[in-house]
Amino acid sequence: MTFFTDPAFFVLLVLAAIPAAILGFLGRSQRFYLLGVSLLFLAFLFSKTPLAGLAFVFYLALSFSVSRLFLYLRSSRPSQSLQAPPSLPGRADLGSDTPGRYGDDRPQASPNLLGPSYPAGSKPPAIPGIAKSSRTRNGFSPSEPAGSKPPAIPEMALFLVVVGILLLPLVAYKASALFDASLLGFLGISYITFKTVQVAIEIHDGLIKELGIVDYLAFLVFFPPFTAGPIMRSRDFMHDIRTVPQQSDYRELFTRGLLWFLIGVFYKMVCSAVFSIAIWYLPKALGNASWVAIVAGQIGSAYAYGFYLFFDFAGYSLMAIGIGAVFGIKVPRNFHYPFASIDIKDFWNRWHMSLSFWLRDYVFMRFVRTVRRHRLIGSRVATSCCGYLLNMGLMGLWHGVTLNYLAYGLYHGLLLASHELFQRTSFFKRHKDTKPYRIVSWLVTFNLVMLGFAIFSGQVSLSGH
Amino acid sequence: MEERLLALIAEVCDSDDIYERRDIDLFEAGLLDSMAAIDLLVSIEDEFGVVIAPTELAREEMNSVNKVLARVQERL
Repeated sequence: MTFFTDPAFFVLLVLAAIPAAILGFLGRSQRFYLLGVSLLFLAFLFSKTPLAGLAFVFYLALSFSVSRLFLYLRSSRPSQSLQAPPSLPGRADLGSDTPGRYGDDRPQASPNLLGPSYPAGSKPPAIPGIAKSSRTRNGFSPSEPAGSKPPAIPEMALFLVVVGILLLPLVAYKASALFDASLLGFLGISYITFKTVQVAIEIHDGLIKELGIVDYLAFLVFFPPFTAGPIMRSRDFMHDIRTVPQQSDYRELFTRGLLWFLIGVFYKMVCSAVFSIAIWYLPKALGNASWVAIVAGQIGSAYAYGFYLFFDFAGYSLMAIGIGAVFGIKVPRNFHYPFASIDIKDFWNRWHMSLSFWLRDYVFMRFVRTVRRHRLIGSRVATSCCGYLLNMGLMGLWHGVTLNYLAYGLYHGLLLASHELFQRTSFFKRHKDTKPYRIVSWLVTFNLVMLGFAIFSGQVSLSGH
Repeated sequence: MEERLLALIAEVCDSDDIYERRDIDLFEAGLLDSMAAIDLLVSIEDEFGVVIAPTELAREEMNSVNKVLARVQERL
């Protein structure tokens, strides 16, 4: 059974949603029910590929044991002079950001340049120190001058080993795909890896202090975004699954969920279908009588592909968000009018947001922080340019280890780096708020984005066919 | 400590406006972006030994001079 396309999926979905809604309207917890339903859906998903299903179960067991062990080692280290601040198991401040997520068009997550919403006013978590310093983390004591490193390498090494183990199946799978094999692979491996790595990083940061098997499993197998995202964050998910919404809140969540789901269906079944026809129809209709017609056909096809990709992917995402809501889970938004982007940075705050924010928080920011801490690169601009290239290069490779995907990633990395440099020019500072500038900038961005999709789809190919 | 932090923010934001307008949204005012925010976190770490993980706080908890001040003070 394929999610979101198979008629059987929708039938099963309706059957599963009815008890969920009843539980929700009665104000009962859906925690165990959701876990059961997710497992059932995944059983159907892997029913025709038992080997992949086995690889999936193996990955679940592996990631749970490794993460749990890491958490145990992390917290059992003797720490000195920690004042044990009150720790909140989940988010404390949801009320305020719930409407933004579903209701209006405010970008819910994009303003969070320092990360997604997490406990307001909570004290810094107790991070078991390794060295003498009371607030040591990553084995680096901030109170000491940069360069003198306390003996904390084992913790860092442990962390890297854990992340390495969690990444290994994905890397093996992507690499084996080069040889038409599927070593350790299963549907959804790319997305699940984001989740397991995020948990490991936040255990390392001291932000995650407990990891129950039910919650962790429910997080990893949560079925609506399992095959195509959006990528959820564990602390958000665990907060939602442990909180039973007030009946009136649930009513609102349910109604919105239903609406988002229907919009998603419309995007996927109608809009994306129309553009997918245009992709092959345009080159045909324009014919190949002259080179102008050929070029026009190809360009038209490229733009149609861009819109097709948006409606297809945003359609999946909206359906997943809608289903999540029925089960009381607030799946984050994935798209926010990406074609209205005024510049390329703006675009990545609007396109595949859960992916770009994940990379921003766990790759770009970490990279920049490491570089700044150890003074590896002198200038700030150079640091961010390297960060963008690394970030987007990885983004490309995550889609698949091919030259086209890598080129797509590096293309966007270069665009972001160029934008970073451009932002520092006096020309930009003088004109950035004027209308003509904004119009031209929008137009340029839109076309660069479309060119990017043409690289992504292989229409503009480096390897040549 | 307040003065040191203000000087630090002024340096990261590359603007002296922050001394006067302590409650404006630094992101909206274009004084801070994600890159500068990381700079700020690293600088705070260097200067005060206060470590704030990148995903620990939401942007609205750290988007003005006074809020940054509060977040650092409660951790000192």
